[in-house]
Amino acid sequence: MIKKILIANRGEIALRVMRTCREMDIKSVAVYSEADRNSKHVMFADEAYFIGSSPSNESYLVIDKIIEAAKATKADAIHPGYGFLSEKAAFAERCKKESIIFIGPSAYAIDTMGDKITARKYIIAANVPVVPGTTEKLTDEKEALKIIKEIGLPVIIKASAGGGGKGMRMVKKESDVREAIRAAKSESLSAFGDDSIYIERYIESPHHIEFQILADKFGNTIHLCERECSVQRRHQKVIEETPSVIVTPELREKMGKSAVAVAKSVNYENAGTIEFLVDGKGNYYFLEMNTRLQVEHPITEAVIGIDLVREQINVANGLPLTYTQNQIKQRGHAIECRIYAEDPQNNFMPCPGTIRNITEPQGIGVRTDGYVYSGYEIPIYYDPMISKIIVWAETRSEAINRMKRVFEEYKISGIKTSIGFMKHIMETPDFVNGTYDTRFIEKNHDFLFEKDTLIPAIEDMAIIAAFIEYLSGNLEEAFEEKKSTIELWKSYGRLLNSRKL
Amino acid sequence: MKVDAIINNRKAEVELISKNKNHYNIKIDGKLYDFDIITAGNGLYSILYNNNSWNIEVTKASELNTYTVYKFGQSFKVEIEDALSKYKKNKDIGSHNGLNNIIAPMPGKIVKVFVREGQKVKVGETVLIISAMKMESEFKSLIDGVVKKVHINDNDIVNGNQLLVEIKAIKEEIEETVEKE
Repeated sequence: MIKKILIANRGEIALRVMRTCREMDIKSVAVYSEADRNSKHVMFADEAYFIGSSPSNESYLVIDKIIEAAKATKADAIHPGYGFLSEKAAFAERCKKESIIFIGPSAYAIDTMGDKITARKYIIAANVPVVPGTTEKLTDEKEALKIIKEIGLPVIIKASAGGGGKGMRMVKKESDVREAIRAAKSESLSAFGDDSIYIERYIESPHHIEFQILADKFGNTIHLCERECSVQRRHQKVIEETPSVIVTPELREKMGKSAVAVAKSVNYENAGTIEFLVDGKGNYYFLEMNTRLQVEHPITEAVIGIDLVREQINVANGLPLTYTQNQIKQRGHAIECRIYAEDPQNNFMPCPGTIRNITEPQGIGVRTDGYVYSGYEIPIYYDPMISKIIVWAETRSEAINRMKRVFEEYKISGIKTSIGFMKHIMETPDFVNGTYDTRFIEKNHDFLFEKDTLIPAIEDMAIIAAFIEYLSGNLEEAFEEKKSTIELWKSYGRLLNSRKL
Repeated sequence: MKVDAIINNRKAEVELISKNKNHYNIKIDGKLYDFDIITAGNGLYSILYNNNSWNIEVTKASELNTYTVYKFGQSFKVEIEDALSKYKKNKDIGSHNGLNNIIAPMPGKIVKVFVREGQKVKVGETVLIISAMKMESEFKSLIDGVVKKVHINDNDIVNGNQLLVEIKAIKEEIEETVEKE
């Protein structure tokens, strides 16, 4: 049985994994780079091991250093979290060679799912739908027309050698097909010296919906229902919720079965996620498989009532799954918002810096997975995500209202964050009504990026607060009296600060 | 005591009428506010006005007499313009004309500097690239000019608000030469 786990990660996910370790009476080992000496995961862990300078390719991404840390601290297992080495087959392989348990799937499964073309072959063999289209290069116009008839409009015609949108044509009407093929071919020939094309069904305004799966060594594979991840910006998830408004019980069962089939096709073990594109008519297509724990896993934990990291550790220990498929029931509704140190009003420019004050939200139905604290300087080397807020409520509308309440309570000063932007999303009619897809942010751009304004009453309160702060620094000029209340506040403030030291 | 407060393009006249312990009387653009305000230090203020409870956090920004006010997950700049800051501003306007100072908006690492001192640059020409948190941002010259000073090198780690590159407008350069002659 695993007694000590090294967490090959940092930030909130390292803390997340360590919490479960502690509950399971397993010792945790943190690894840290130069910039992370003051990071919370180092303080939370039972042991901490220095692995190198700040850039991740000199620390968190160096397999040798992680293995060295595991050996030096006698850790019997490694949890990779997400990102960094979590989806590197070579890392899983190396752990195996060094007789350290890798808490994740086999190198073979990571490898197979990591290569899109190989994965597609396995998925088709497992009878799971993929986006219809050609898999081989095409040059013949008649052949192309025949294929378009088979897969149905609209389609996208892409240059085989393509890139950067060159040679790409979207066709909606049958009368445009012939010309589009010719244009794509000639454009492709002049741009890449190759006129072969391939054709794919164009999925209009799709939803991005994924299924969580769990699998053990004994071939038991279950799914833990879906996560709706359609609120995206530049293909990055921003908000996730479960259940999805568009997934009916029938569709859930069908997609769940497909997800399990995908996992079984590569003898998958441990936790994984199968991502699908879903169109407005309930057709779904395999997109990719993530062979690790996802950022958004807590919403599944909230509605299913399972600790996914505990299940991961159990599976790594060689135990059978704790649950069978018919024990998995969704209860209530959960939403996760990712909070980044960035400026939404300035093209989401990252805003590292020092956190002055942080007040995390509390109360019923709230979970905060974060890692920053007052006085912490967010390093410039890593991801700008500072926390995830997860709310749970009986219904979707209660969950949205709860999230809005949470954003009133969540206060971070010293840096710019995306909290205000998240609050805007919670107020957007398309989100409130559940009528959104992956084009949500683009479609609601004007509403979402409306310049931050204050109604005059609040503006005046802001002026009052700034003015009083100004007075506290320029007091002697403003008043004759020396021992004023403001002076007392100031000394109280100093007292508080000195206590912190 | 009277000052101006600048917030979101609005300039408001603020006048302190009286104060008694936590109780203040302040006029903003002629409207009288009678309120109770306390702070636990650290810039966290609680304001009671007409029995409404407001919580606002204020931190000092880098510019003179400028404060960042946090409310509803957003932040706003409020500048208190008193006699001293008005004087300083007027003094500075002259020297800033025709200058394009590139200042780091955030802490980060200089990926590459594309200019040398004395080099001519055009509007929109990339001067340098900063990387922070896995994202690279290009910084471009806002004016046609000559690079007056480069304060950083490739791979330097820089702080927010640090002066990186000074660019001087070409037009001014010519004027100066004329003057000298």
